[in-house]
Amino acid sequence: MIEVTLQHYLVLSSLIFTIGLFGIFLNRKNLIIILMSLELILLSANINFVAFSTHFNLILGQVYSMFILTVAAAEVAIGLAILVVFFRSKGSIGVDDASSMKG
Amino acid sequence: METSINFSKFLVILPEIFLTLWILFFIIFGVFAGGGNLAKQRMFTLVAILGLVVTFILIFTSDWRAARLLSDLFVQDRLAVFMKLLVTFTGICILLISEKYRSFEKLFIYEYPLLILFSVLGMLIMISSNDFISLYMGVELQSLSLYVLASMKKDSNKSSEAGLKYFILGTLASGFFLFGVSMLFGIAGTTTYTELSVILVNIDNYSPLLALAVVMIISSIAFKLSAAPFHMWTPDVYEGCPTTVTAFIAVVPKIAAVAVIIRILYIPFGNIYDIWYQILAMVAIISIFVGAFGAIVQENIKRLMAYSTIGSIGFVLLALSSGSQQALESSLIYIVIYSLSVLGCFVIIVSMEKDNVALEKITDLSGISRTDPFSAICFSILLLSLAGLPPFAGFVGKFYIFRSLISEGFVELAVLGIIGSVISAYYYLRIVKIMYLDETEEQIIFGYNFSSKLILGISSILVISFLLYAKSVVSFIEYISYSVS
Repeated sequence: MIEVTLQHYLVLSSLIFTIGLFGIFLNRKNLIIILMSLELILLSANINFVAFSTHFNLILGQVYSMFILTVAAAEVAIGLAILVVFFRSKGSIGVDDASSMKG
Repeated sequence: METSINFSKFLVILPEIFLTLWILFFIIFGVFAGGGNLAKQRMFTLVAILGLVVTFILIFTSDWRAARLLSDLFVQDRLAVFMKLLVTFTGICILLISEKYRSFEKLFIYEYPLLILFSVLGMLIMISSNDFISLYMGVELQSLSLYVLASMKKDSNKSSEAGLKYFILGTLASGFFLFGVSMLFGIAGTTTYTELSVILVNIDNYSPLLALAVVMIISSIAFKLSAAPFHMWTPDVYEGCPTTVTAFIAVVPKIAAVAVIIRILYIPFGNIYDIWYQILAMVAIISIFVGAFGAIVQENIKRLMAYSTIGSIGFVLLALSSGSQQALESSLIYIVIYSLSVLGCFVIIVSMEKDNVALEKITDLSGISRTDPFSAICFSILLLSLAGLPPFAGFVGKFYIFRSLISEGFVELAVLGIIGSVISAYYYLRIVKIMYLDETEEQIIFGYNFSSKLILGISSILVISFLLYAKSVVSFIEYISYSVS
């Protein structure tokens, strides 16, 4: 058995952050996937906060992660609402359909 | 252990508490009053303006001396008071000029003034935060309201698309911000500005982790400021939003974000200047040139104002990249002049209409010097000020920025800034040429009401006569800026 240290958590959170970033930039199909990727990015920061919090024995980091969870929930609710408005006016949620303005 | 709470200290956050309670009252009031007609909407706007006016008075009469409270999450100093006054004042102006536009775009929903109040509250928290987490809460309150405001015209393709783009890129920026803050928390064990400024001195060998955290935090604030290369959302959002929301996004959040970046650069990152000054200078120069070249080909006046914003923010960041006290003052002077000029420009852009349809092409302005000389002359003054031509206010702002850069030895940056400024003068002058020399194509009218005419006139007069009182403004801003660092 290997012991799980701070480094493992940091590698995990960086991986999740990178997956989130690539999910946004490489995805050409669906806006829902972008919303999921955004959530991944916010949660990777949360993992960092909690990992540092246990490592330094500072309760502050866990309090922050609760704040971030709350705000992320509100953020996704608003994102979905905007997506519904977008779907009503365009009839699709494809990434390529969000391109009526250029220049 | 102190057991009693000193309530007199809480008087400092009275404006925020009042605005929060007013918003809660406003939600209930709006639900019960109903209202799909113009008269009801007038009443809602009045209620919102009343709340902001009282907030303005409370901020003005509050204690301007430095104070920290709520376990150092909240800070009060002269910079904070000044920027909050500016934010509430411009917020009131935007609500005043949006009356007529909302009536012919049929934006008869009380959420419009409500979300503007929410957004202003978020900005007040941003300006006064002394901790990265309270800053995050403020930024989110502000930007979540703006995402909804951007997609407010539900029947319009462009508006919903603008809201979606703004939301995705804005959330990405806050993700970057949080990741940067979490790494800073890992390095220092705290996220409070004042503690960080002490802790970050002792880090002698720059760890790559610290550099990464600083880059992530600065780039997310640069996103909120719409500085290049984080500006991709700006033209689309400016074009797609309802014009009054564009006016709001162009002025008010920029003031708050400048206050935030000043506080971050000078307090927590004040002792690690070597890490951030090159990043900031690069962002600034790229912004100035993207603003200058991007605007040349634009046909839509709102897109053009977006590039103009990018360029102006470039100048603010250029000043800050030298990191001196003078730089702080010059960037504050510039953002005051910028908000004044852009507010005036947007009074005109919001009022452009024909047969109750809003117009936004630059060529729609052709020949208005003959049909409406007042608008033509005001718009010319404001545009020339933004271009930085000598007798107007914008010149004074740019002059102070270049002076502070040269006195700190950043001559190359000043030269690049001047080149960018000259290039950007071209597209401002093109609009003036279209207004004065081109033939009239269609009869455009300007649907001003009394208050928008007043705001336009006052901002034009202030901009044109700036040299007369520049000295007192500069000394006042010196007084303000000594509260930082």
